Amino acid sequence: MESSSSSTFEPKIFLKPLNEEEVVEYLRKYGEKARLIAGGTGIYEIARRGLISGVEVLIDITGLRLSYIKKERDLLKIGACTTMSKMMLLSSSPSMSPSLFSEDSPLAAIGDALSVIQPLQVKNVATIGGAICTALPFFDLPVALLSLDSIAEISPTRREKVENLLTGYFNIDLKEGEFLREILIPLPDGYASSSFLKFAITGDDWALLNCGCAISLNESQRISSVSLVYGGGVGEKPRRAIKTQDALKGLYSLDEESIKRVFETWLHEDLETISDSRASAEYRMELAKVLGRRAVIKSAERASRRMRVQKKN
Amino acid sequence: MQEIELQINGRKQRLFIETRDSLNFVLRERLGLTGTKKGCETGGCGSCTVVVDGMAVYSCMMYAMQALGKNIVTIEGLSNPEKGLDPVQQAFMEAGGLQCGFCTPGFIMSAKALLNSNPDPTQDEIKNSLVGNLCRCTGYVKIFEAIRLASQAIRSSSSS
Repeated sequence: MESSSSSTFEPKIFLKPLNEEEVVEYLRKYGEKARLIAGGTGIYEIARRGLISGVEVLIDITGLRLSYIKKERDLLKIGACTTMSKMMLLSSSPSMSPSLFSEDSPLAAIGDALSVIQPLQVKNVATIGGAICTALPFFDLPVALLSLDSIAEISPTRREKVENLLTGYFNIDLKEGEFLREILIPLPDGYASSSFLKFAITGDDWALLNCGCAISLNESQRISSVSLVYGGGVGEKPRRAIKTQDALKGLYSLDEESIKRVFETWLHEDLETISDSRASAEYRMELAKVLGRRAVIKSAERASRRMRVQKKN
Repeated sequence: MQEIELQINGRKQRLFIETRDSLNFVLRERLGLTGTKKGCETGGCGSCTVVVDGMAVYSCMMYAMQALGKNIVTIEGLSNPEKGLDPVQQAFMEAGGLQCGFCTPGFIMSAKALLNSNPDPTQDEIKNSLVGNLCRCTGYVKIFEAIRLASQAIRSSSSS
């Protein structure tokens, strides 16, 4: 009979706690020998590539009732075990009307990201918490979440920007006994919107490059704030394009030439794209300029549309 | 090794497994349900697709332990001598939605999950639900036709 998995990854114990205290207890007891799973697809990918070893215990946290989306005042709260398919389903449920991640929503970047994440077989089990905690820079959802300045609610008692949690390939800044419980996304007011764009070789491939952008406009349709984050071939973790962001501020949102010039001038100072078997660093840099420009314009168009609707009402 | 109980094709099955065993491994190697194929084992080809709690999942990417308490349906669970073939299987046969046949159980299970939740899908919805299934004989057009045919059969049987 053949072996069922890689010889370097042979967990012996499978635990399914039903409350957070139990999870913390197990994490403290087993330390580095334990890994949390929800959908399990992330750890599977890493294990198949032989990138993980020494794991003896899998702790399945899907019994914790962390599968939900809640709107509370100026925050959207998403449970860490909410699958991507369930996020899509819940976001357009009647209780969430208008749809949370639609093009008319300030959180449209999440809808964009969910629509390009494939295949369905993975979306049906992969969770938002897993997408973050796997800490693989080629994933899509974390980039959209970073562009929206999302915050991680960490059990037992800590809040941290998701951006600060991601420290490198497969590395996440969680201390012993800590785990990601919930993701908080600020709901911007005013004339704000966002978008997410991805370029991949096939429909269900990881991103060659992806880009999330959130924008706010002032009354005269100029960019008052912008958040621009890249993933997929820009290093060990998603990168924020800080100088490009600064240069975009104050520009007239429909001035495509000026926006294009900003990307040509500044983006290479923000990003170090990588070369691999799928694309060269030079190709990725050109792609980053194009995707970034398109994401800014798309976000601005959406924000502008929200402005027209808000003024009409 | 630990003893567990899985609900597969409407039957409870008790068996011994290792924590690291994938659902695909358990279905094929422990239970002999070889209709579910083992293909790429990297979540890309879809030949291992089964339906778990009504949703299509890759059995190669799910630990069998994760399937405890869930309702698992494999290609073997779709038909039986009394009721014959499932409408989706029948449609694949009638439309010629298969060539070498290796990918077919995966496509049928993906189609089954789609039609269970959406009996009248658009062409885009059909294509979207099959992004995770590859046919290297490239017989996609006939597969799309088969799913449309199955959709018609399911809707006409539920309205009659």
